Amino acid sequence: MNKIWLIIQREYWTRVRKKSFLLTTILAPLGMVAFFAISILVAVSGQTERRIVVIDDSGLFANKLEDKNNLYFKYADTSLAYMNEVYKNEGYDGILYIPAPKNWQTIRPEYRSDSPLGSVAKNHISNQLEKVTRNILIEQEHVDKASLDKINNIDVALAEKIIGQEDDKEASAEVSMVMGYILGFAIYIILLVYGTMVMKGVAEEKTSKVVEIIISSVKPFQLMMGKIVGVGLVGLTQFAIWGIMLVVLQFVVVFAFAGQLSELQALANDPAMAAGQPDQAEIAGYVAAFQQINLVQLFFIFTFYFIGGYLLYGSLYAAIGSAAGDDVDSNNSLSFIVTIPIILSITIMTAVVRDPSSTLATFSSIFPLTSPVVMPARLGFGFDSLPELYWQLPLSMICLILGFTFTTWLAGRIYRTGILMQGKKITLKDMGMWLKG
Amino acid sequence: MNILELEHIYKSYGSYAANRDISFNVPKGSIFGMLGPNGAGKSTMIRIITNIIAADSGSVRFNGEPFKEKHHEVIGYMPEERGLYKKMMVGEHLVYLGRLKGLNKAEATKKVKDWLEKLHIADWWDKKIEDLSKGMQQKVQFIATTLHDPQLLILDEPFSGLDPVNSNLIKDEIFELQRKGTSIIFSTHRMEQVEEICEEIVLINSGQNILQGKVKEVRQRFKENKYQVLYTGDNTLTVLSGYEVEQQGQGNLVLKALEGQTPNQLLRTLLDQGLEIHHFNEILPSINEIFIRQVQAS
Repeated sequence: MNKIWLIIQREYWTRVRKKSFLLTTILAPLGMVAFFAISILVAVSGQTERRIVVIDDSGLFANKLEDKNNLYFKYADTSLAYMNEVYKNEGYDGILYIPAPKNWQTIRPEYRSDSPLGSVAKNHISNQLEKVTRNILIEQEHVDKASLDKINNIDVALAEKIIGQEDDKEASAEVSMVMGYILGFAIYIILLVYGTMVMKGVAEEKTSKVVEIIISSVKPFQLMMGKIVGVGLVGLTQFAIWGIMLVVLQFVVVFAFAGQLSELQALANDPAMAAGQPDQAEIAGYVAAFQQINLVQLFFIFTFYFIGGYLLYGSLYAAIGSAAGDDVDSNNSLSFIVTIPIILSITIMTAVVRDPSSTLATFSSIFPLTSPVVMPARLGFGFDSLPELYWQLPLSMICLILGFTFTTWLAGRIYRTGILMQGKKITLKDMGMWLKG
Repeated sequence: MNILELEHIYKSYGSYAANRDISFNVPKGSIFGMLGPNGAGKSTMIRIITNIIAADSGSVRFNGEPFKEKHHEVIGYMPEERGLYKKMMVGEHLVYLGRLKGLNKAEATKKVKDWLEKLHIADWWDKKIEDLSKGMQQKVQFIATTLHDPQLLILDEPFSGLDPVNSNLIKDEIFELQRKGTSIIFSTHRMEQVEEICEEIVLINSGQNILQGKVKEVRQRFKENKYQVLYTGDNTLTVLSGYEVEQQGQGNLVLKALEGQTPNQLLRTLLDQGLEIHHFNEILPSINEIFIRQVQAS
């Protein structure tokens, strides 16, 4: 036990004090923040300014297009052919040509220019044209504007209530879905990143030939477990640092950009800008749904699946690493065997968050190769929405414990032979032989 | 008293038998040579001795008792395929390996410092392993092997890749350790080193031991009664009965004695012929010659 502890310490410290660890740990969240900041900046700053000359055959659109969103309209009473030649010289970026409509249901305007308009500006122009056409039609059809507004403002919101739940609280399926998705995705990333780290570590130990020196002091199984646990702790450290950084960054953002934030809020409330975005009441609903999630419970279960899934896949990756040939880079033709179920888990998880009580959801959250990713995703919905979790969760946990016990045993057998095999490339058949021997 | 007793060791990998019925004893305090051509099964044998792999059958006894976990801590093993963690510093690496052998941190640190000083590399403590040459790394590996004062030291090709100066340095340390009572198994296919260093040998070929014994005895056992004489005098020798002349000229004579002839008789005959003898010695086969002969014969 004492020796495993020594190995864990070495595996941990040699990784944590590496420059690359510091860099990725600090740069990854900064990169994320930068990404969001840039996206927001782009959204706020809008598009390039465009001066557009409008040729309106029917004359009905004349002076009805508003100059906004960096689009400036000017009417010209010339032929399209003429304007095609001179629009550049007259200082326009493009021509909006509106032929006289054959009927008012189908408007087929054209934007002509030597440079593309871009989808945002395109939407702005289409929306304006639609609005103008609508007003024209209202007038032509003698529709009462007030009645029309009434009809247009019908609001239907389907509320979902789970029977038997205290106070019949409203469960927001969307919040649960997002929560579940984030949890499942986090585990997926952990398995992939740290599993690969274990595999690389084992392969390096083998190709650098230090392994035989070590296992003349400790059992191969101790070395393998020491590495898996050590790397796992590196992962936990990284997550802890990220957690702290996120909290700190949140404060920084709130204090430093208080002004810009209100601007953003205004932007979000601009109906033209934020078509389909939630209004205030809806946001409040999300917050309430979020508050309903039992975070402490979720944290413990998440940690369980993190550890269980990591042990399961970490040991399999260690076994693959032990089969590495002399060339570290080429060994990993075998790693896909382990990577595929992980990728499959995330695919299944995406389907499961949409329908968390399906048969697929039930099976894949109990089966230990997929449960570490799928079960946390389902748990995001809570026990109240998915009461079958009361029996499925313990079953899934037991299966996961059995699962990683089995894979570590299996990996141990492959590992102890694999790390001593020098030179030749190892096949699945060889591994099968080692299991027997 | 033997530090190690091996009896009827069998080990196969699938259909390939690496060791087929190997038995030998390593006397306590000796330098014991384990010889054999490449692929003879030496490394497998060593891995069985160090308990890295288990034999299919047969017994390994250490100090008279069956191998146990604790014996890891009294064995030092320097494998042929050896490496170190490239990113670690020499000092921390050695301390780590020492602690894996059961030393506590303070003991390990002190011993590493002593050894680095002894091998004139005290300033290497903070050097990264990857910045060392292969020969330099080998010195570090040698220290790692002996750090915990093992009772049995197993060295697999310890001199490969070392220059003559460092070879001698390590060789001296090996003798020094033996003087202090350490038993040493020395595995190699370099025969000249065996003759120089080992007292006793076992020769392994195709997974079997084909020869075993003290170096001197083995050479005696395979002697062919050949003698070399350096002399001055009449060059035309009378034909000597009971001897075959293998080589003659420039006052140098190599003879092979036939059955029943002793060196004293030969010397007397030569003196009777009026020759002046400057040098007379029996030619014993080198371990190298015996090795090649035996491997080809088996």
